Amino acid sequence: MLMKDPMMLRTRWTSVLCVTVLATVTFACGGKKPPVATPTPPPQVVADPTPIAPTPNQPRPPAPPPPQEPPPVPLQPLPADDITTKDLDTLNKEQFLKPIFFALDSDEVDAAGQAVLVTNAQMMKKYGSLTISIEGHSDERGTAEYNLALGERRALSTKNYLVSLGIAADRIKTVSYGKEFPFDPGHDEAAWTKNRRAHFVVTAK
Amino acid sequence: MRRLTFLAVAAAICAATWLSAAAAPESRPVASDADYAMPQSQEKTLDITMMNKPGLPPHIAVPPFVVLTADQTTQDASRALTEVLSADLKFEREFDVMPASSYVGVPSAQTIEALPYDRWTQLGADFVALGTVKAAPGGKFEVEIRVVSMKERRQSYGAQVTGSNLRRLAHTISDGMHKTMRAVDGVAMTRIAFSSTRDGERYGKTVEERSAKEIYIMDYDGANQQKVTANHSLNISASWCPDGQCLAYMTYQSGYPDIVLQNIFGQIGRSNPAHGSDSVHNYLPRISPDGTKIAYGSTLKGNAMDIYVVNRDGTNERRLTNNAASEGSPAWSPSGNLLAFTSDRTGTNNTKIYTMNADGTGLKRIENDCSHCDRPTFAPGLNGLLLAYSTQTGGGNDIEFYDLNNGQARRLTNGEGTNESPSFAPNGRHVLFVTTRWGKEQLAVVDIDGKNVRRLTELGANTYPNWSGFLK
Repeated sequence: MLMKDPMMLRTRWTSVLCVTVLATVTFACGGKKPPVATPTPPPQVVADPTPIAPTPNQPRPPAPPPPQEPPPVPLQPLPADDITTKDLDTLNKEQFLKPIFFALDSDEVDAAGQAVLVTNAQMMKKYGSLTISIEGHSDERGTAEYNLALGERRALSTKNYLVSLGIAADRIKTVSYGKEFPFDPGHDEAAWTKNRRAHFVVTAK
Repeated sequence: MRRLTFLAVAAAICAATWLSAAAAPESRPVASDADYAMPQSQEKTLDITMMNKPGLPPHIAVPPFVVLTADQTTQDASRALTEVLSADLKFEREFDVMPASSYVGVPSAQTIEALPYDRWTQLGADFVALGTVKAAPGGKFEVEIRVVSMKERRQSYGAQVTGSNLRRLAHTISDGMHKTMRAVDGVAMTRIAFSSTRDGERYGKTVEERSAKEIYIMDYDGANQQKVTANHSLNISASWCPDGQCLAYMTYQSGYPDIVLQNIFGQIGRSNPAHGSDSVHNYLPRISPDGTKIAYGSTLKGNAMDIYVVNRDGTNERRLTNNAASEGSPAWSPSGNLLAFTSDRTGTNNTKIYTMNADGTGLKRIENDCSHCDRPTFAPGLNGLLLAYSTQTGGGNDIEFYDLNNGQARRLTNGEGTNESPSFAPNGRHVLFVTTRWGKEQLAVVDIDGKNVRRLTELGANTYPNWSGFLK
């Protein structure tokens, strides 16, 4: 299965190492698994071992609603992925799925956000039993009530983009917290930029 | 009906001051809230006791309530009654309460006959409040008050009240005095609901440090702040039932935003009339003036929030807007015939205020130039023709009034921190709101002419205020 994936050929690991990895992590595609991972227990059975990254041989997922250029497929290796050894709190503390950020008053997933969501979708495909909650947040400007609606829209547009990348909608819950839970308590643009976000929480793995 | 007329007249007079300041260049057709007859006369029609300076609030002295049972608790009760009654009278600005230092040495009196009228008249008093208090069985107090006109040398108002809650006894007297002597419905018995972080509780089980918000209630003057919820989640946007016995509010207790209707006194009762779920999120409830329905925002059908109304018992849910934009912050008009709400349907990432009939017909956009307008709320009375809301001003928000009759807007706050979430006192004379002028978000009350800002909260951050209706 691994050798079918041309992505493997582009990783910086040698084929020798690949064999080692193959012996331990049967479905790790393109990962930068440390070569010393022999004691790692075999992962749980994963329901959906489909290829992770879209490749030139495969059709791209359906385009998202805004008619934008499709984001470049990120070529960087996927993050360390031994999610079976970590509990949910640890995974969430480490932001296993990365947040995306929004422009002021906007619920549009921009190019940078799309790239992050492609990576997040890869992880969700790799770990097919993983379910998540997407939290929509806003900065402190604007009224509390308005920001609840804005957070709702941000969470939903993020969910819709993931669904357009092939993630089943029933794996994704959404919730809006408006401006109630800023990530950065500051009162300047630097803080606001971090607070206008869709935040990912892994709810089951 | 008599009460409604009182209210309409009082509120109209009160609002007239600032409304008349603005010219009325044109009248435009507006939705009208037809249950109320617009007051024909600006005159107060009650038998108002005469005073020294017509047109200005009468001077009144509230000397310490005379203690009839000589024990410490009764003396403490006297102090509390005097203090609370004086504060209540100052609040409405219908009485000019004389400072105690201005009548030092004037002998106290227990009877009307014993009053030193000449001394009081010399000091400029129009009225003197003669109060007595004595201990009664069961930890109660018997309180009597006679408000005496110095000019007429007779009683203008009198009351006897018994109870253990001294603040409430004083509030009852104050409301009676306002009604009888000033033709004003006082709000001293009313309450305020809000959300607070003051307990320092952590929200849910998230790995981030997040503050829970619980619903609190307090008296109109900030006294008796009491916790209503204790579920360590976000509990926000409380709305009073008309009888003051229950609240509708948003809670995230189940992990998603839903609406709870909950009795807050006596018998425990709690329901989820809007039937939220992981995918159906319900927001910002407002109970109708007759208490039978709840208006709210929901994602029930489609992704964007729309305005819905559901019966209090969870039946007959109906969708009133059907739009790809987000609709939110619904508010009932005084008669319950209209709803005001916000929508970003103009597509400019900006919310404007709209009104519609309570069945969803007759949509109108309010033609004001507010930006990011939010939390519209109708003034009580006034035919439902006066709205308050927040609007973006510079870096923050301010509270603004808008007269639907003549299209005039008027700022109530002017950039002292950010100011939002207005809620009218049931007599229409004061507005409760959230402000950051003292740092963290706190609740404040201001009179509708912009004067008399009073801070109500100190602990934690306090938001989403809602003023009850008139309570008994």
